Amino acid sequence: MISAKTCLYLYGPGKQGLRSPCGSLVFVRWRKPRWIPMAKSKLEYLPVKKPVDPWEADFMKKQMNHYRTTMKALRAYFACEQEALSATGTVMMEKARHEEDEFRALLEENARHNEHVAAMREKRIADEQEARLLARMRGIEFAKQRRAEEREHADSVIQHYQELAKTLVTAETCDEAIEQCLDDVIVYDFAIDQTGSVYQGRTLEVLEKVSSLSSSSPEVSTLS
Amino acid sequence: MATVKVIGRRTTFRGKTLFEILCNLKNFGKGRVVVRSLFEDRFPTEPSYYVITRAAPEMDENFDFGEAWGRKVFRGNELGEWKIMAGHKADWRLIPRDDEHKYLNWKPAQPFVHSVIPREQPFPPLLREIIRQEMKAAGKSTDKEALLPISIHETVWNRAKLRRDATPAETNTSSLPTSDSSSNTDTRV
Repeated sequence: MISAKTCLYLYGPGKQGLRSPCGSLVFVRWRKPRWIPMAKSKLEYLPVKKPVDPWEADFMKKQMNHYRTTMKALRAYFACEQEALSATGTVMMEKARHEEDEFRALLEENARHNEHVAAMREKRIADEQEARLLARMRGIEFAKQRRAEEREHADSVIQHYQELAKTLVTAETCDEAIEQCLDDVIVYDFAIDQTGSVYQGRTLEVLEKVSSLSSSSPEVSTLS
Repeated sequence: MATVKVIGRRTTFRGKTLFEILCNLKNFGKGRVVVRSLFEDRFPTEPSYYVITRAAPEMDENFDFGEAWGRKVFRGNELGEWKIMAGHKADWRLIPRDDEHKYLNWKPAQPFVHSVIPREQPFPPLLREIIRQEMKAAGKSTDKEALLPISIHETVWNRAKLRRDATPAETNTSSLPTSDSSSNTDTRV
C-alpha cells in the first residue's frame, strides 16, 4: 500500500484545498489524501462526546434564537431605511439624476452612431443593388448574343445537310442508284512496284494499260 | 464467549428503521403507533408519533428503504396525514398495543401557554443613540423612543406568538423573554 508520506510526495499538499469549479470550499487535509484509510492504530479509537450542561445548552439556544430574531429585525430595518433613503435622500436623488443624464447622453450617442451606420448601410445596399442590376443586364445581353450565334451555327449546319440531302438515295431513286453502281464499278485495289509507283485496278489489262502509258516499262507482275 | 468490540462513533439514533418494524407487522403495521426516539428525548412531556396509514417497503436486505404514510402528531398537535420522510433512520420504536392509549388519548395536563413576543424591542445602545441624535438633528421630538419592529415565523415548530394587541405602553417595557425552563419559548425564526 502506498504510504501517506509517499502520497504527499506524489500529489503534494497544494493539489488539495483548491476551490472547486462550482466555487464551494474544499477542506484542506494536509496530512493525507482522502483515499488513504484510517490509520491502524486509530481503528479502535472512540471519540468521546463532550458532556453538555443542559441548562447552559438551553440558555445558549435561547440566546442564539433571540440573537437571530434581533439581527433579522435589524436587517429588515436597515433595508427599509435604505429604500426610503434612495427614494428621498438628496445625495441619492442627485446620483440618480446624474445617472439618468449619463444614460440619456449615452442613448443620444448611440442614436447618432446608429444613424451613421444606417447611412453607410443604405449606401452599400444601393451600390450592391446597382451592381447586381448591371450584372444582370450584361448577362441578358450575353445570353442574347450567344443565342443568335447558336442559331446561326444551327442554320449553317441545316443548310449543309440540306445540300447533302439532294444526293441521298431514296426509295424512288433506289433502282437507278443500283444501276448506276453496277455500271460504274470503282475498284480501290492497287499495286505498288519497287520505285513506289502505284497501279490502280485489279486486272492485267489495267496494268498493261498503265505500263503502256508509262515511258519506262516496269517488270510486269500479276495480281491475284 | 466471543469478545464483542464496538468500533466507531456513538450514534444519536437508537432503535430500528421504520421498515424493519413494519415488515414484521400485519398489513405493514396499518393503524399501529410508531415513535422516533429523538423526539421522545427532546420533548418528553408531549407525545410525537405517527399512526401508520399506508406503507410500501422496498423489501431490501436490511429493510432500510420504502415509502410510508401516517397520521402525524407532533408535540401533541395533530398535523394530518404526512408522508414519512425519515423511515430509513434507525431511530424508530413500535408502541405496544397496550400502551397505544397513552399516546392516542393524551391530553395536556394544562392548556399550552404560548410564549408571547412583543412586536417591538429597543434598538442596540449605539444605534439607539445614533437614531436619537438623528431625530434631534431633524427637529423631531425625542420624548418617544424609536423601537425596532420584530417579525417571527409562527409555525408548528416555533410556537411563540407575536403580541396581537400591542399598545405603546406595553412595548416600551417588554423585551424578548430571556430565560425560561420550559421548552415552549424557543423563538427560532
